[in-house]
Amino acid sequence: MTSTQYPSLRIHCPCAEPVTDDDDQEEPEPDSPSKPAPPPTPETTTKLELPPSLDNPFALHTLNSLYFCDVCMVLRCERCVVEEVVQIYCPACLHVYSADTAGGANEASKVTRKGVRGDDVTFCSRNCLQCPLCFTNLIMLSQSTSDGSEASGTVYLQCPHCSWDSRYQPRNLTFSKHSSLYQQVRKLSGNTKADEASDTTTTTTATSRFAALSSFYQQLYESLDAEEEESNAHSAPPSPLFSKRANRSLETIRFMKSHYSKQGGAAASSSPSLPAVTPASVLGTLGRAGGVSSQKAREYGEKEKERYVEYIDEEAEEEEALRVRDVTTLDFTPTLSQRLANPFFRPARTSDLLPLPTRLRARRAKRCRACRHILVRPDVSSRKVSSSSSSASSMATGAASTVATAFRINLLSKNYLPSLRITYLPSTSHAPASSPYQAGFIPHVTYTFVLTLFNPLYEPVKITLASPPRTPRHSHLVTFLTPLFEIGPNIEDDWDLQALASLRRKFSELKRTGTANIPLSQESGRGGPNLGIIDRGRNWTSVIFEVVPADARGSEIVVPLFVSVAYEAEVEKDFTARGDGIGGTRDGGLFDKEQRELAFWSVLRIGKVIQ
Amino acid sequence: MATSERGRETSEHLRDIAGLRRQLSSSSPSTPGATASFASSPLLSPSTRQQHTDPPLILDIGARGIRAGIAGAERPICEIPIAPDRNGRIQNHVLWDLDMRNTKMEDVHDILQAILRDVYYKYLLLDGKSRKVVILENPMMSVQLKKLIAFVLFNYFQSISVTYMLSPVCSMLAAGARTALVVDIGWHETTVTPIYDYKPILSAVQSTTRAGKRLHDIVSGILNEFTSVPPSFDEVEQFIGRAMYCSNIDTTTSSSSQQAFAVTLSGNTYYIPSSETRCSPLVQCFVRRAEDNMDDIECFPIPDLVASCLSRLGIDTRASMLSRIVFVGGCSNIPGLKLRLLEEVRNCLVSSSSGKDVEPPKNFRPWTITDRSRIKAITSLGAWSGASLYVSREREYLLSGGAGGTGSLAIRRIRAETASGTSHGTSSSFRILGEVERDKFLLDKVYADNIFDWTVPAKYA
Ligand SMILES: [Zn+2]
Ligand SMILES: [Zn+2]
Ligand SMILES: [Zn+2]
Ligand SMILES: [Zn+2]
Repeated sequence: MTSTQYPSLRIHCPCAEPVTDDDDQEEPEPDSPSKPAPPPTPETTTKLELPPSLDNPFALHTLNSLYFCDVCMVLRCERCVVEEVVQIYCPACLHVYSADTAGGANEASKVTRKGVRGDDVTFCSRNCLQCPLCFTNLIMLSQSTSDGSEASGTVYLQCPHCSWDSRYQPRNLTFSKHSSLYQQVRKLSGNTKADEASDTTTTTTATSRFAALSSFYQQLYESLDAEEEESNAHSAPPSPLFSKRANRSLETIRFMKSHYSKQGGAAASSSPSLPAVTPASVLGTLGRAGGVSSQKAREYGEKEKERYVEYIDEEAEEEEALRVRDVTTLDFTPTLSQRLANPFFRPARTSDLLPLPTRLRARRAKRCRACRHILVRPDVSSRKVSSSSSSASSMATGAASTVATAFRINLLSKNYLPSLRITYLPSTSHAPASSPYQAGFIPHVTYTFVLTLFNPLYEPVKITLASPPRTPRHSHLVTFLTPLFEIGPNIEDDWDLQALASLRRKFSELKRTGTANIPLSQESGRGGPNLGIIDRGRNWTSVIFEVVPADARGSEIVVPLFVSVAYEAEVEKDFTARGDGIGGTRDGGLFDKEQRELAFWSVLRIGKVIQ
Repeated sequence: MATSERGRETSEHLRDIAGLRRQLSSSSPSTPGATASFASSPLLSPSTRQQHTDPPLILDIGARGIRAGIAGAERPICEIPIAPDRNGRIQNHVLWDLDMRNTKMEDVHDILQAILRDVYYKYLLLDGKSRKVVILENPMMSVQLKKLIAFVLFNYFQSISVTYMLSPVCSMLAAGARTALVVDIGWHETTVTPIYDYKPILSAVQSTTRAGKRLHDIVSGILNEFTSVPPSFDEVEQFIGRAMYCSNIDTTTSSSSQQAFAVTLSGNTYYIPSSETRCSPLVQCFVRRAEDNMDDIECFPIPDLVASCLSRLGIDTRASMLSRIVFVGGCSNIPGLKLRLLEEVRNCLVSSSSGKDVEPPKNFRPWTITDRSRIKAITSLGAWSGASLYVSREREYLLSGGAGGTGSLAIRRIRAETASGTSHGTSSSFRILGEVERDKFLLDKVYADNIFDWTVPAKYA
């Protein structure tokens, strides 16, 4: 039902390895009884093993949704970061409801929430309301009176998407412009029935019932307190609930259940002479346990009268059953999501629906779970959610906000790890020219793909690719022709100064010869013939790989790919150990060279073999 | 209802409790240990109460969905059904199977973590830090599952502590009663729990597979007669939630409407000729016995299960429960179903007293016509709201200076009887409720393995 867009590429976060106890390790994967042999890439001597969670969808992420801890030098996914709410705002009107006041980025932040009741900081308490049918933001329109002039401050609501109108019968709602629409809708929600005339006397609403029960329990507690003082401290007696007998008897039920069901099964199949298990017979067999001592019980049975309970309204219930009996389509009753969307009551009829309040959203900071270093921190200095289109606009993981948000700290994996792109190369002689993504792959035909890696770092990187020659599940043949290659540095910023790009390139080439190769013109300059490298640019390289689908009809071609990135980084010298961090000019004296290696597993889903 | 009347009822209630307290407390003397173990509970401990003034979260984690909110609120902030997601990570509509052996705990872990992340950051808008969590627990919930939920909360959401409360007790609290027979019509199972004077009588808890899933399968089969393509999960659930009703008596013709009902399945509209089709599956699922009256013990009809449960109780206990039946759970909202079930229980009680082949229990008293007429159902705001009432009230009580010194006893008694988490009791014969604390749970493996298990003696926990 979930149609995958082929080709797709996901990155594996190793934090997904099983977290259960050591002694009950998960059983071997049912589908792949034998672990595939490690990829025999001749260049790498290290043995690679596929991580067990490589086929767990929860362990696979898009590059854009991953973070990067530059202290631990590992990627972090949504499951291995610790999140902190730093700001709550309304996605419709951008009003900020609470903001982090703590200054330091590394200090524990705490959002102050006004009010104890949950809904005070859950919904926008201003005028943002949503359509109860399709959840689009409603538009507020002025009600004009019959003579054409605007009525004083009366508004109604309309949905721009499905044209739901608050003036629909029987509700026919109009609102005052002068107070919060949220509060007005909330008040209306206390009266859940559209036709209030019919049963105002009998039905107490859930809200009033809750309030009544709440004060009832308060009285109860107060009296208990008084009672305690009076009777002056005696320990509570063991309650039957916690007696050994009670504990055991729950197990007894389970045992008897399984016991009886086994017997019942046996009776049905083999030996009909066994006593039948009927509802009536069980009443007898199990009928001894339980109960409270009868003297005490009697005493209480006497007093247990109509107290604070409310009997179900049988008439209303029957009326509702008759109503549903006589409807002719589903449209008379709200959908399940329309029902769940209402935070105040459970609407029974479509005509009961009221405008929905807008849920606030949270902007969160994210920390590395291991070292607590902050990876992402939204800028909350302004009182309004900023709507400037900053560089982080493509960040897919935020609060799913349409508003581009500014970040004070933003350590995303895409700034550290190469991004990968797969394209199908139809020009080879073996394979058909049409896209196999839709048509499906034909077994035993060699398909050629181009894998392009983009280097986000300012240093040139050495890439090592590794992949099992046959895919784990269906043994599709996969060959990367060039497992080892380099990519140039990401020195320039594409976004500015496009016109000066060539000039700058020449300049930097001159200045940084040796450290920063510009590989455009010197294709075969190093490391022998770069077979399989089809193209390269300033900070990207395209290599070829081949897939020969096995004869596993309908199976998916899923290629595990290990990517290792090695580079030499300039790091600041550690002066803190000597007590002072001052001194030195930027002449290189402050920086050390350091060899770094980042590695990750990714999963390429190429497509499906034809049926 | 008039206020004065309500006030009178309340004071009567209080006198009852006061009386019971006197009676009970005189039977066993106070021990210093009891107080100490009570005070060690951080939710209540006066020493720590300044630090943790945030109201606890309440989670109701069911097989089909999660309800979550903050204690003190009338309703949960969100109710999230389990459903396949867009990225194809969640493929099922249930979090676990009835038979836990068919459930891969790793999957439950992953899905729970993903959904709770939404719960915290999309709906509650808070991080779990410095929050206590109260979780509603069905009496039949497996220990394995309780442990997993606690693990996810402690490990990924930094909850300070986790406390399990019995869901039927909370449903009863939300009905304003102290004695009730709670019938929870869930997804995998319908559970009947008798509670007497705040104490759940766990030895009498019964369950049956006549519940939401069975109804789903029946309706799915019926809808499939109209279409060539099997209806989707959602189409079936929408049909159940929006088109089904339950008639009161089994008269097929008079109470049914002959008007055709239009339903759209995978793009095509079909007409269901009689309204009977929208009612009879409920009767078949919940009420009707198997042809040969040979129902497996695991799938008794609900009225029989209620009758069976009542019959197992002492005479007086059960007498006070007859007019305190609480129906909760997803399916109980189907219009007319509660009334039908009540009616069937009435019929069932009278007929079951003439059960032929079994000898009646010792204190069994035949049901009478009076019993029959006393059977009534009371309304409940639901388990989540009940927990909210209870937790917030207890918290306010503590913060306002109650429960200091001797006042703690009363609270402890209610706590002990409503909550089901466990901690060291002073005597090995009973264990009072405790919150399970994060550090202890994560560091002490033996503790973590046993703390949620009712059957493990206190000394191991
Ligand atoms: Zn991770
Ligand atoms: Zn707003
Ligand atoms: Zn709309
Ligand atoms: Zn870190």
